[in-house]
Amino acid sequence: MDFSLSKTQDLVRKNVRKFAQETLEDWANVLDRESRPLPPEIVSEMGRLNMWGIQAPVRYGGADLDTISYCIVIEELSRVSAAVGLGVTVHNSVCLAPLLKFGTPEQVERFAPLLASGEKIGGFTVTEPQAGSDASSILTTAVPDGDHYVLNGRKAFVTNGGTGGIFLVAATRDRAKKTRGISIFIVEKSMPGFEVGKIEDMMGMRGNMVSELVFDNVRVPKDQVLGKPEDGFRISMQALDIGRIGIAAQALGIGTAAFEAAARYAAERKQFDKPIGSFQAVSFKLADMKSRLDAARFLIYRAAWLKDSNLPFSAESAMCKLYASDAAMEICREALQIFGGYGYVKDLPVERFFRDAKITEIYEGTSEVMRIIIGGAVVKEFSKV
Amino acid sequence: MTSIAVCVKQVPDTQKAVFDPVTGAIDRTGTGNIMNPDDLHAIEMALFLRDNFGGTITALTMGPPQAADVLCEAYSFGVDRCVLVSDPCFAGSDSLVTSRILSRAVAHLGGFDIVVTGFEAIDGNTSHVGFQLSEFLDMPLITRIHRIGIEERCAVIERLYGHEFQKIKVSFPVLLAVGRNANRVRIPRLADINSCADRDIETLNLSHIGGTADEYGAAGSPTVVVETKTFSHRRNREVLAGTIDEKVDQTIHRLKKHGILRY
Amino acid sequence: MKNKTAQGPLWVFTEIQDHERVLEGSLELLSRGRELADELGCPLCAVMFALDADQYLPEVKKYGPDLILCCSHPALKHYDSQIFPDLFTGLIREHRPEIILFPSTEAGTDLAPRLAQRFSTGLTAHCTDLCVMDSGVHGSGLLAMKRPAYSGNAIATVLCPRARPQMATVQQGVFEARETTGRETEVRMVPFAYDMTGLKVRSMEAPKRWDSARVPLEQAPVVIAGGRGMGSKRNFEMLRELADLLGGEVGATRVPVFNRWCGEERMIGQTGKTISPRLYMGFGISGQIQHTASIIDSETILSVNIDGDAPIGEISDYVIHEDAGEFLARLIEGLRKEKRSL
Repeated sequence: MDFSLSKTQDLVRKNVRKFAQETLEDWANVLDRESRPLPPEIVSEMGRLNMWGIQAPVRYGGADLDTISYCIVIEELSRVSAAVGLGVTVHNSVCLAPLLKFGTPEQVERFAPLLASGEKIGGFTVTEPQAGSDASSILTTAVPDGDHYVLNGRKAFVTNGGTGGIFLVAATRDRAKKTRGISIFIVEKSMPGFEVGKIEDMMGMRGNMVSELVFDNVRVPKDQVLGKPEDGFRISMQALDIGRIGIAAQALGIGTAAFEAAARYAAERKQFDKPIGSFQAVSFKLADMKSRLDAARFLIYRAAWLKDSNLPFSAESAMCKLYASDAAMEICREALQIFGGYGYVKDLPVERFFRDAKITEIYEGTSEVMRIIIGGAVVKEFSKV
Repeated sequence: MTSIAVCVKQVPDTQKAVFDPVTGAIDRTGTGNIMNPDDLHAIEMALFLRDNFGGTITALTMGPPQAADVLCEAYSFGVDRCVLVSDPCFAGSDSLVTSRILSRAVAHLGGFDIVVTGFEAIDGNTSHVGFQLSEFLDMPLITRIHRIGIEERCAVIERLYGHEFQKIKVSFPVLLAVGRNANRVRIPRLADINSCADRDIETLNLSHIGGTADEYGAAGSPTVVVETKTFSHRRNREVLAGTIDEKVDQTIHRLKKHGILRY
Repeated sequence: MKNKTAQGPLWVFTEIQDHERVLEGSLELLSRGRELADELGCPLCAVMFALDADQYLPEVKKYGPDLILCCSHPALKHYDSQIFPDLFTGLIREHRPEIILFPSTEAGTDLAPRLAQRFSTGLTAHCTDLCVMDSGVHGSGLLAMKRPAYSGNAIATVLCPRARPQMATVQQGVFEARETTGRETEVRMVPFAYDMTGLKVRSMEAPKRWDSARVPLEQAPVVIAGGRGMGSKRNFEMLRELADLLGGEVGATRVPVFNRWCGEERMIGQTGKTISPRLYMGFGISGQIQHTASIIDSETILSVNIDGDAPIGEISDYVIHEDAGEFLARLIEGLRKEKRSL
């Protein structure tokens, strides 16, 4: 077992960190304060750097990196701007990745280059106002009509909703068939009847235009069904297994930023003539934060390694997401405490880290859903005997 | 087609470099080695010239085998070819010998139209190598470049020289020493980072570049470091005293001492 | 006088700055060179190339050289990286100096390494001290050259035991320039004979005076930062003047940015930029951690604050207790005077 990163992984971290510091740092607060997306020139620069096609084949404009490198990219982007990290991980892991995995050659040839270059930003949506953790209860319908399906319905909390050009949309062909009735459609923003609904005014991740999407008789050609029509639910679940590793990496990035800020502050801030880091009450907090961070990191890298080794990773992906998001929340809470009053004001980014971290416990499966997945896997394993 | 060489160096990363207090030699086995910061600007200069005027880029480094890491990084930026100049007898070379080795490596590779180096390295801060390469290779050295173009095997350069801004023309071959103000270093594409570790690095040793072992390394170096004393990072906290005008005078004196106020 | 084995003279490259005055750094080297030459028992020689070089002879003589080698020609108005090394090379062959000292200027740092290469000798760069050393291993009467090493974490002592001349470039300001009296100085004029057709760098148009280019804060060699203590936009504007005089850029803490004295792009600190210039000067900055953590890697830190206990003092090399605005005005005035006198 080797815990060191490869030369490539090292260079990925170094360069993405440099990019984030040089280009995103100035924007992170602006995006948060003004709830606006990144300017297009930065989006296209990220395209040049292959950040919209991190694991996509080189021939489509991707970088063909391994999953640990993928996690490093998301971690480093999120360390500076979690909202940017979110847009990148959702685009890559739950839009482009399932397209590459389940798409027909024609679908891949047509959509992968658009996504991998960042010319179009991608999204993925199952959630509806009344269907969150219970994904099988979606109401958006897909009715066949000649060579097309006609989509009607409303999706909620769609990451990249306001900026995306291509979405993987779950809709039901037949509610009676429950999960087997769900299909995934490749929907383009340009299709008539497609509408971006309300952009959410959120607590955190304010640089991502999370929105509602409204489908009013949107006609989607039948050759834009992803995979087999009856496999929609299975595809969703697999996409989310991959997506969760990215969200965990995002939580790790936020936690790292909060931890580093707190550790620096504890070393410099003096009270009672001593750096506050020399008091056990503070140094023990830092010790716990650091330990949690490293534990999260290794759970994430293990899940990534399992995926790259073509081994089952569903439970491990849920574990790393559960642990990393809880750790990030805890670390941000403690970091804010170490900063005291300075942590509570908006001049410093600590309160932003805190607000951004919370959602990692909720989206792409809540912590409760993660426990269902992990618990289910454990019970299944031990009932085999 | 313009042939461009860029000379890069691996240097210890942090301010906490590990070194032998007796010999003064740096222990490079530690993990914190990076490409010398000015050399990134040298690579950017080479890429700029190739992208705009055509050509091929060969990156060269002299150092122990692990110095190949900086060549890997050079590949991630998109250079065409990398050459490691390495031999046990090169160890301990000072700036004169380093320049001798690099110049012979350049000659062995058949010479180049343009050779680019970083202005200075953070481990030595001497900035000798550029000037000494200029002497060994008999190529004029241009520094403080503001703008550069290529016209019919000549470099047309706008540069700062003393307090003046000059526009000059230099026939190939020409040597450029590039500092951190020359350009903004691009971030390499992830795809190039992914492939850089798999690309071939050529190696040149004593037998390729010629000469005898006693010309190289510590043996061939005219200078010896007889003592190295460390001191802590704590700042002096020198409080300037006197009247306000005296303080102004003292401040100006300090600015000169630190080389900020140059004439 | 110890009268060691040294035979050849000790040379100082006596540089003329802006073709109107002898560089202070060269005078400093002549003063230190005088002491070293006395200790070694060798003559001290000033080597000076300039346009109308005669005018500088009286000034140079005051610093006690035994000999001035002087070449005067219009082609020597500016330092040239072909002509100067070639002329020097001829003189070194003829006179065989034991030691040559150069100021660490643009010209000195160009000339010295070229000569070191031509004579296969050692050169120690940017020295901060010079003395005579007797070494059991390497011999006696050697020039011990001290310089910062490892990003300033250490001081290395360097010798050049066998090759000659021993050469060093020296930071300006490390020695004191002191006039001496009662020395006889011989002046020898060196004829200028140089084939100018061999010059490789051709000028395409008349050179222009350079106005400092704007560089990003992170890349600026000098950063002049202002904080709450600047008090007003008017005072803050003076920082720009100082930055121009020192070839630097203006930075700020949160308060000036919030007060719109400058743009957000100039903010240094946890939510702004991290810098590591050669010189950081903080005016009216108390030193909140958010700011200081982002300047800690600056090579030299100087702080001006009315409050003597401001935390920024802890991380400063130089601390000045004055009203920031007032001190700034006086400093600008002083620097202007300095530049005019050059």
